Amino acid sequence: MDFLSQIALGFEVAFSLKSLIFAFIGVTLGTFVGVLPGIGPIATISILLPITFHTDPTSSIIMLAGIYYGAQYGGSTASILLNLPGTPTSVVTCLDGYPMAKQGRAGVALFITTVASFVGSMLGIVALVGFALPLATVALKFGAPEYFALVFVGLLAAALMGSRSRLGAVAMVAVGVLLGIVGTDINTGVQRFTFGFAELYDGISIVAISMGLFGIAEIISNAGRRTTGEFKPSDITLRSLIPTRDDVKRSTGPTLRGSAIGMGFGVLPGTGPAISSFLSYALEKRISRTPERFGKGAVEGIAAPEAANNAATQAGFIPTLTLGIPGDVVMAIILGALLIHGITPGPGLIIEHPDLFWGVIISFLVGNIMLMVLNLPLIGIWVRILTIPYRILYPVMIALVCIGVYSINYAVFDMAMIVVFGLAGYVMLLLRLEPAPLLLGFILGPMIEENFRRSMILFRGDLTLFLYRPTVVVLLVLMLVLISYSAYSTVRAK
Amino acid sequence: MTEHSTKKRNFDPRALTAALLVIAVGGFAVFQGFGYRVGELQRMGSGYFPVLVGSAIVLLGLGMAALSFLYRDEDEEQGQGIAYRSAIFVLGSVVVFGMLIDSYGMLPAVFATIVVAAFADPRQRVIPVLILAAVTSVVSVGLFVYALDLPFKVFVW
Repeated sequence: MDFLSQIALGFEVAFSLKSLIFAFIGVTLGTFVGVLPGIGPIATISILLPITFHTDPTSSIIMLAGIYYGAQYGGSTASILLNLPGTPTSVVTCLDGYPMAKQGRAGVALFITTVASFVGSMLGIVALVGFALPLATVALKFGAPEYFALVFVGLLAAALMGSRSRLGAVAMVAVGVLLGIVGTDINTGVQRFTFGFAELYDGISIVAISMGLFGIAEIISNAGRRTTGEFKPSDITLRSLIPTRDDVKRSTGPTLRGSAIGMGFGVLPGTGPAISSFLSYALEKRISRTPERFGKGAVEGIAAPEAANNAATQAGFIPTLTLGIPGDVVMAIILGALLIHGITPGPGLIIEHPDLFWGVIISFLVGNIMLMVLNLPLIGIWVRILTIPYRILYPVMIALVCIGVYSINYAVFDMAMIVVFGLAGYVMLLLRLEPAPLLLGFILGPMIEENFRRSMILFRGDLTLFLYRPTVVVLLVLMLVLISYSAYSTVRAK
Repeated sequence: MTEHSTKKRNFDPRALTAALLVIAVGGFAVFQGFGYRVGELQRMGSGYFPVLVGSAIVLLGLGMAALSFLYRDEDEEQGQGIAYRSAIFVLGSVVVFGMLIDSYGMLPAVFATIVVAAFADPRQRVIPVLILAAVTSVVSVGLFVYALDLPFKVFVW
């Protein structure tokens, strides 16, 4: 099948009534949970995962993905109005979004972030369409050493970029890798780190660990401290959304550069939306002629990161769908959903299930157009949601986390896991150890070990044979560049 | 992000605690890993990879410990203190959910979770919390059990 007929097939699948309905449900829910600080796409997708067993895989993925990228749009709303990121990927948007709101320019900020998100997403989809097929073709020839190198470099890049303490972040990745191999060793059948708990034979539940480290730890640190921000939802009128000519001019460049950064980092497994948004903000600040405006309500500072995180979200589907390597928790859960339907994600997916592959990608196009409508004319509805005080919100969030995690295995043991990782996450928060790299290590840990062991069997224990693989060498060079750059910038900063 | 923090030459006890914790985790993994068969590089046993990763963690932890004597990372969250009250009641509310869900069902479990969680914030008042608990438990049952058809027990007595 040639490229054009595959795209045509995608349009056919994505524009069927069923797909349109699932995409709409997905993006609406996604915007809703993105707007609400504390309830993210992970809890939502976990709760909805069991329901997707009853429908076909294409519709399931269209909906789950819609929740994911829909949340990226909604995430900036709380950043701007409350100085609270709705999702971890819109942390940077607070820096200039909230000052803009204080200057009475909340409407403009919401407009710019939505348009930047849309442009970023569209460019991300272009990258997805353009790179997916060639990459899958190359990846078909990938063996264990290539997969090992790819995941290893991705993990290292994720730890070294956009973190406060680079050594600490790398250590957290390694701890995550250890947690990831808890359970039955698939090569030998030995139970590792299970300490006699039969519930751990299949490993630690990914949803329980991520809800504990992020959701519960976050609530512990905020309950009793956080209050609702001061803003009037009636201030956000349609008229207040209209940006000035100067705003448009200032945000065009940052939007495009942000999208480019997002596309680049989205492709590498591990370095997702959050890192892209940090880097694009740093870039805009560095190249700006007026860096002192940043942090005081510069439009550039909200356009670039929002374009970057959306582009990275869409481009993140490239390694997920073509290589079977998930870049973050949501991607890992989406891959899990595919496996449940008996579909193995990897380079074969595009050939064996073109209807699913292209249908899902074209649905992103449809979903993003829906999101523009949801977020611009209907912004007033979402803004009103944010007036719910935190003291009402957080107990409900805990209940939703419990229901979500319990609904996966119906095991009380997973509740204990939330408590353990909730406590661990809070301790990490106090000690300034980052949970994001740990979770990434957890997701990719089993993949690293499996491919390392296979490579060593293949190479008969000779590590130097890695250097005879061209793809591996390219990745290793990339890694060395990364390490030397981060060492250089650390030294210079001190 | 180095841009948002200022670094001063100073000893950082918080970073040292973090480093020691990291070393302990790595050391434990190495110790446990030797309990499984380690094998050799060509034919790795179950213990090889844990020992390898554990050793890397110990090394990284030692590096972190060394750095903690040189630099102190100042940030805006400094001096926030430990939220004991909130930790106890937030984690307690999850424990309560786990204890009630199997034997009593979703309605009482959600109700009790909300009530216990509310204690984390001293500013909560009794009547609004009870109303919130009642509404959340009824809506959860309606949404998850009846609308989404998840196999939760509603109320067992």
